[in-house]
Amino acid sequence: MKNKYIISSASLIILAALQLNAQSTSDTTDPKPGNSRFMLRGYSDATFQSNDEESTFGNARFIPVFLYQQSDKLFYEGELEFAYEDGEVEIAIEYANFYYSLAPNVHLRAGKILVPFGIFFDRLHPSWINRLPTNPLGYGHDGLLPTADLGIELRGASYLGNMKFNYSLYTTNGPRIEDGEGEAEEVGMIKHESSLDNNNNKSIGGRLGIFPLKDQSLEIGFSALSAKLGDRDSDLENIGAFLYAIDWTFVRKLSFLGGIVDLKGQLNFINIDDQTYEVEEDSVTETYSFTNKSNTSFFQLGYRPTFGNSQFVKNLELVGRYSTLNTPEEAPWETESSQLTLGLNYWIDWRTAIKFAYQMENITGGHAEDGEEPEELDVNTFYLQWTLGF
Amino acid sequence: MKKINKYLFWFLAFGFTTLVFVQCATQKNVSNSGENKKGTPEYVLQKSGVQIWAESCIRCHNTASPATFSDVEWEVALTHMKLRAQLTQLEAQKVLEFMKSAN
Repeated sequence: MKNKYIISSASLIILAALQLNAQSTSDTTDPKPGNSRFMLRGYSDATFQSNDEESTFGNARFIPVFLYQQSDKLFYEGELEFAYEDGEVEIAIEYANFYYSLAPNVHLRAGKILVPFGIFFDRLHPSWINRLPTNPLGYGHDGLLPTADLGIELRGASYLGNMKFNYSLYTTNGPRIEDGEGEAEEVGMIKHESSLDNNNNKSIGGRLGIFPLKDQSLEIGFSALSAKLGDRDSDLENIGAFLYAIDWTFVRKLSFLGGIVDLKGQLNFINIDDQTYEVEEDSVTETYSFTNKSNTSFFQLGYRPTFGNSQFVKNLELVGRYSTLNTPEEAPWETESSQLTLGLNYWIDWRTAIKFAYQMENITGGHAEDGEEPEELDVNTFYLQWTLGF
Repeated sequence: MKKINKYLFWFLAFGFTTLVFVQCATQKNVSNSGENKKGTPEYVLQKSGVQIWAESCIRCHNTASPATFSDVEWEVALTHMKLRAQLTQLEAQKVLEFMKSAN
């Protein structure tokens, strides 16, 4: 009821704003032939990976991005993903949304949106932007962090005194919780990509980014998201989740190092209300009770030389990333993982690269019975990825 | 602790929303006649399009040459970046003018 009131009020405010801001005919661009405001962009990539288990050309992806500017105020963007892997083609809509500019620095975004929780998914996920062939731990379509969801958002940027800031405020269908009926070993885990909206609650979240330096080389971001996770009319209906994150970006050409330094990172905390879960497996009821707190992080450093006359050297980039993932003790999906990835990229042009990377992953996990030691696994993988933005 | 987190979140969200709307309401569209740039710091007004282009694009990806797109395509691409990369109206306008002049 409370949610309906919030959504209805928000809709009325937005409609009023749209009415007040209604575009005049002079705002509308004229889409003459040869002068179209339509752009087909996107990227494509293919990856080879090799470790003790397998050596394979793992996948190939074609990801077109459709952009259309209807007017000065109305803009559409949509990203499709075609991925060929394990002999199958998977198709997905990564995002599909329109923007309406309510004011020069206030934009409404609605549809399937990339959730601006931190920087990785909203800004860095395309392979021609991501400096490494893999994602940090906890990120990805099966990760603990939000990726994309159906909803609405207000976003933009402005100045507070002498400091620039950017902001996002959004409400979406929100994540759900695994109740153990589908995946018993994942009971209590937050799930962000639900095909169906499982309850009437809507998640509410936001991100604030500030630029303390005048050259905008440093951005520090704070994100938060609050939601109820359980299916409607279920015992888990009122389980709440509160996620928050801190992210940072520092990119600057440093003369004394003879190159561009690119420092990025994000700390994420996922807190879910305590709950006792009962799961039936092979006609036996297992009970799980644990403090449902997880955290994940990544720290990335890139260096691209700008010294000397050799274009070959200037096209190189060194990248290192350290990433961690810790999930709740006593949960069936308990894990303590860390990942170190070292990469060397060769940039053919500003959006086309060949990436070499070696990733060392240590995974300690699995729910161990009393007196048993949890399993520990080391996986070292070599990656070769070709990526092209267009 | 959990309750304090939630109260803090709502307090910050409310305070920030108010701040954004008060701040943004004072800034008019620079493309409007009169070019009202109230609320924009002096050092930003003095920045050139090429400077903003060099500072902003590289935060996420390598910088694109002005020759990459036509003038019309740059209008679409810069509008997209204004929305996605959260450039201000003034920043996007200055970068677009530079891209067109250098194209």
